[in-house]
Formats: sequence, structure tokens, C-alpha cells
Amino acid sequence: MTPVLAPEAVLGFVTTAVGVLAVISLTLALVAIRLRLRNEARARQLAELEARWTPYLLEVLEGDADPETLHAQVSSRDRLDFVSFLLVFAQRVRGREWKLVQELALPYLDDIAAAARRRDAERRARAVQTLGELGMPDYAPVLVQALDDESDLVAMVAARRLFRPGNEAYFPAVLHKLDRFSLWSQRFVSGMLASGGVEAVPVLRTAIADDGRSAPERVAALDALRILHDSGAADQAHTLLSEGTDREVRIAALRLLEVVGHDGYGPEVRALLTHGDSPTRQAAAEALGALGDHSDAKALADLLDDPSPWVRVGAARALSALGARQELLIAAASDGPEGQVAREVLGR
Amino acid sequence: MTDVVPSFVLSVLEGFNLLVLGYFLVLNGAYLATSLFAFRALRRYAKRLKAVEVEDLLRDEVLPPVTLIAPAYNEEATCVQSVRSLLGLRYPEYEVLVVNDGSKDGTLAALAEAFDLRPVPRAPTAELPSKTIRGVYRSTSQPKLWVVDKENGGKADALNAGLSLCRTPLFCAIDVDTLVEREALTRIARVFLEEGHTVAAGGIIRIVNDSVVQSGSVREVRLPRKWLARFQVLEYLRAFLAGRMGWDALDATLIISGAFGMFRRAVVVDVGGYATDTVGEDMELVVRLHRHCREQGIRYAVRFVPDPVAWTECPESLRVLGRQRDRWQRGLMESLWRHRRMLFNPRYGRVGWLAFPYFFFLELCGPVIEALGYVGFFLAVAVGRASSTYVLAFLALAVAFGIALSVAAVALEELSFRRYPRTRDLLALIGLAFVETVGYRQLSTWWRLRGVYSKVRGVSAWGAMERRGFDPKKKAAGT
Repeated sequence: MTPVLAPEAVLGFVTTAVGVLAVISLTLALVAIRLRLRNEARARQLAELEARWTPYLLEVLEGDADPETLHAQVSSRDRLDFVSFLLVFAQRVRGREWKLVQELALPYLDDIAAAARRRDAERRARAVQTLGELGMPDYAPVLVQALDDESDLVAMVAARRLFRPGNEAYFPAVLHKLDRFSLWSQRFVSGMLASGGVEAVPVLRTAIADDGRSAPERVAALDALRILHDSGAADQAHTLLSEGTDREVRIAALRLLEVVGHDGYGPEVRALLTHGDSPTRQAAAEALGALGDHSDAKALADLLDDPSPWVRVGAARALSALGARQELLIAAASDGPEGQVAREVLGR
Repeated sequence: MTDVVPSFVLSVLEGFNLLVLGYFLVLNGAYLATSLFAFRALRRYAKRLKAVEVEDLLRDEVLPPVTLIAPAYNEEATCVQSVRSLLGLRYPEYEVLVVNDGSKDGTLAALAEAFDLRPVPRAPTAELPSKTIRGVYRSTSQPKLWVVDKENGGKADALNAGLSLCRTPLFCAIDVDTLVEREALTRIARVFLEEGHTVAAGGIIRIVNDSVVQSGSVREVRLPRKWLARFQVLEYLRAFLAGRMGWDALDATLIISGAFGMFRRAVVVDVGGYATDTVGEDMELVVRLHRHCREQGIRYAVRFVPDPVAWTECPESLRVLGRQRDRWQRGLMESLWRHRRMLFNPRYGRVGWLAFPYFFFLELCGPVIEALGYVGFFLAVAVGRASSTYVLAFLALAVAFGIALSVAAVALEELSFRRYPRTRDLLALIGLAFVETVGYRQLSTWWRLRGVYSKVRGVSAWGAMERRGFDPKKKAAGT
């Protein structure tokens, strides 16, 4: 009986493969156990360090001790852990205490700045985040440089830290690099720009007026101004309602006018109620709900049977905002889609 | 014995056995490759988490509004606790939309009593096919909570009904009997922020059996006591941390679990919502999204995110587990067969060239090849074309591969999220990896084979699941 399927060589190969896999399995099992032991030991070590540092830190924050007394507790081996410890604290405190935490971290931040040059993008991002939280304004050049980092993640982390109140000097640098963030969601970029606070308003207004900027950049700036309730940008938004404007920019302008506009912008907004693009009609209806008056009720009521359900919902909400109850009651009597949205807004 | 068997039969047998060997090597090679990709991806992901922290996202109010759509069918016993857990998530702006899919028990009444529901009108924003909606209710005590009462039409039908009423840019499809961790929504939504063109993302499903659950959240993670549930813990670790993470690294995610996945509403509406004529509606939707976006030239991404956790109760009896796996295999077959034109089609990129062939040949045909492989090998021994030593050697190789892959999944868990804090649970998981390959794996093959047979026979039933519930008091009482 000669085995054809598995000659000696194959058997040898299989046996070797089984042996190798057995060794791999045992090695991986040992790695998992070693990881567990190492992680537990590390957790214990961090807990001990925190327990040692926390009372000193509280004393420094209360003015009962000098920073040196805390620094004396930090061995050279624990420098990075100390910065991580301070970073957690910095995110919990404000004002004078935050400044003190920054000062405590300062002697150790050169090590972090060195990490911002590492090959690993995620580590660079973490270093930039730490410097942005604890090292401003001293380490601002490192963050500005990070805006040109090859990794989008590092650049975004740098931009988020630079675009904070008090860093106005760096706002133009961030806006200059706004096109780098096209991968990130519009909402995320708008939120980042809005986190600059009122100090960011001038550069954001400049951005929306800049025809050379891409539509997503202008939309992000318009949305940031909306979040900041910048009434001064209403005039600029108004000029963006013209037919030649990009669709997304026009809709963002309508959203801004909904928040900060007044009835003076009514004619242009009303003209968009019959626009061929349904998201534009919806945004126009919602804006009119905020800046229009009862004379707009008829035009908005006409939109209650718009082919787009989103326009119908927008129109019904606008009618409700204008207090046009009669128009809503008439629509509510219908069995059609206009009746559904009207009844929803009326709550019956 | 070879003298009495015609030579062409022997040739066929030999050829088939070689095919099985080839299948075995390619399958394990694929598992190994995804594990290696997963290893690298998990390490990067863990570091990325430190660079953009969840707290930052919550503080900056950049997260988009989300609707949680939770279909419920005969969930009277657990629905109130589950909904309470959904209402306690850490997320700035979200709605919970429970769809009572024509339950025959008191699901609706239990919700109405617990949350003081009142009938309200709510206009649809999409026209997706679903059974008649009998009413929409809103909680007066929890304004975030809406309940849709509709005629029974199945899970996909219920999801479509919820989707028709959804008003937010993102929605999250979840099983109402699933416990979603408090920060899970934030964690899964972040990929929609970091990649604005993301259309779908799935989180990780973990097994909750015998863990300590209080007030709708998992307080202490423990390995289940029953062996069958323990095997499934290992299986889920392998499937999610090694499998899906690896496929995500390859940018070819084809499955998002129906128990917990987030989607861009507009794109799902554009593709017509969930398919109601398949038991694998979750996978079918993801495959259809890939197909739609590729065919329309839309820039998109489908992602697996390893840290948003949804805890689910797994079957603890062979009968129920077999039924579940039968259904999963049928769902897989239906999804792949429906979109078979994607197979090796360059138009669909890596999905068509890599993920689809993997699922088609290795996961769909796998159980048939594997089962016939066992038969073929033993026949080869019987007719003298292979010695039992060789067959045992190859079986040993299969077992060794299985053990290595399972231990690798445990190591990945320890490297990344370490959700089993008790060291004895870690040791038990490692031990399970050495035991699971003999017995449980063959059972699993049998259930999947049965799924293939059920599909061929035209079975389309969902198959009832039995759940113990999360409440420790009820568990103690055996209810």
C-alpha cells in the first residue's frame, strides 16, 4: 500500500509546519500572559506615581508649596509619565490653576517636542496635542510646523490646538492650511474653527469673502460663524445667495442668515423658495421662518406639498415659527403629505 | 483495496483531496494575513485614540445628531431595561426610535407604562417599503424616546419603517436586546468625523453572558461559565479583532453586524433601505452600499471600529446556536449570490478582487468543502491512497493552525483593549484556544453545512432566539 497523497517529503513538511505552529501558539500565549503582567505592573506603577504626586500638586495649586517640591518628586525615568499626569489635570482646571499646571510641565516639554519629530505619526500627533495643551505659547512654532506634517492627523491635531482663544496670532496660519482637512467631515472642521471663539471672527469673515477658497472651506467658515452667532457676517452671507454661488455655500449662507439675519434679507431668501434644488428650498424656508413675517405664510404653505419631504418639514416648521396657525390647520385637514407635516408641527 | 476501485475514481478522490488541501491552506493563509494586518492596525488605532480623545469630541460639540433605530419583537421582558440603557448614552444629540414589529406579547404596553408614551404625528422623510405603521408614540418623560408601532414584517422591515421616520444625518441600527456602552456612539461616530465620506461603520460585539450587569450597563466583565458560550467568546474575538480589523486595514469591510452599526441615512435611503427578502439584511446592505458607491463613482468608506462595544447575550444551547449559525450561513449565501456580479469584477476594487472572493469561496463554499474533505480523507485512507499517519498529520496541522489563530486573537485582545480584567479569564481564553479546534469547529462546520442545505431547500425562517435577560434577579430565579 503506497501512499500517493502524502510522500515522505510532504509528511516532513507537515510535521515541521505543525511544530512551527505549536511554537508560534506557545509564544503568542506567553506574549499574552507577559503583556498582562507588564500592563498590570505598569498600572500599579502609575497609580503609585499619581498617589505620590497628587498631594504635592494640590499644595502647589493652593500656593502652599513651590513647584520645586513637586519637581523633586519626579525622577528622570518618570518625566514623560509626569507630563501625562499633568495633561489630565490641565483638562480639568481653568484660569490660574491651569497656568500653574503649564508652568509645572514646562521643564519637561523639550522631551515631548523631541517626540513630535518621531517617525510614528500617531506618536507625533500625541506629542503635538500635549504641547498644544501645556506648552503654548512657547512651543507654538512646533505646532505651526506640524500644520505641514505629512500626516493629516498630526496637522489636524495641531490646527485644533492652535485654533483656540488666545492664539489669534496663529489663526491665519491654520486658515491658510484649511484645504488640508478635506478628508475630515465639514462639521468637524466647522467645530474646530468655532472653537477659536469671537477672536476668530475677523479671519473667518475674510475666508468667506475669499473667492479663491474652495467651497468646503467657505462652508466651514460660514458654519463656524453661525455657531458663533456672528451677526456682522450677515451682509456677507446675503451676497452669497446669488445664483452664481456654489450650492453648498449658498445653503450654508442661508443657515447663517436663519440665525443672524433680519427681514432686510427677506426678498433674496423668498426668491429661493422656488429654487430648483430642494436642499436650497428647505434652507430658504427655514431661514424665512426666522427672519420673515406673516406675509410669507402663503408662500411657505405652498411648500407644504413640495415633492421633497425635507422641504415640507422645513416649511411646516417655518410656519410654526411665524405663528401661522391658520395655514397649518388648513393643511392639517388634508390626508396628503402636507397634512402629515402640519399635524406633526401642530402636535395633533 | 485499490484493486477493486476504478482508477478514475481514485484520481477524482486524489484531485479532490488536493483541492481540500489547497482550500485549507488558502483559508488559513487568509486568516493569518488578516491577523497580521489587524495587529498593525490595532496598534495604530490605540495610539490614534490618544491623539484625538473622546472627551475632546464631546467637549467641542462636533458630533452629528444620530437616531438609534431598535427593532423589537416580543421583547416584553427586557425592552424597558434595554431602552433605559439606550437613553443613558453619552452623546450630545440623539433620538431613540424603538420599532415594535407587531409583537404578540406586551412589548408596547410595557414601554407605554414605563415611559408614559403618548400618540403623536410624525411625517416620514423617506418612502421605504414597510408594513403598515399603526401609530407613533413619544415619551413624555423621556423626550428622546419615540416608539413606532407597526404590523409584523421582520427585522429589515422594522428598520425600514424607522429609517423612513429618521431625521438625522446618521442612524445607528441596533438590536434592542443589546447593551451599548455609554461612550460607544461617540466612539463609532468619530470615524464619520475623521473621514467625512464614511457611509457605514460597525462596532465590536462582545458576549455578556455571566458578566455583571447593573442598570443597563456592564459593570464587571467575566468569561461565561458555560463552555458553549466560552467558545463563542473566543470565536467573536477572532472574528472581530483578527478578522474584521484585518479587513478594515485592507479597506474591504464587507460585514457590519446588525446588532450595532452606524450608517449615513441619505446613502442608505438612496439604495432603497434594507432588503426584506433576506435573513442576512445587515451584510446585504453593506455589500449593496459598496456596489452603489462604486457604480455611481461616489467617494466612500465602510469601516470597522474596534472600541465601541455592544454587549449581546449568546446562545447557550446547541439547538439555538445551531439555528443561529444556520441563519447566518443562509444570510451570507443570499447576500453573495445576489451581488455575484461583483466577484472578481475590477470595477469594485479590493472588494471585488479580495473580500468578495474570500467570502464567496472560503466562507460560503467552505463548510461544503470542509465536510467533504473529512469524508475524502477517510475514503483515501480506506482505499489505501493515504496512510492514517498522513491523515493524522494533516489533521494535526489543521488543529495547530486553528490554535495559533485563536491564541493570536487572544493576544490581540490583550494588546489592545484588555476587556477581561481577571487573569484567570485570560488563562481560560488561552486554554480554550487549545480545546476549541477539536469538536466545536466541526460542530460549527456542521451547522453552516445545514445552513447551505436549508437555503437549497428554500427555508427563509428567522428562527427564534431564547434569551435569559440581563437582570441578575431574574437570572437567579431562572426566568
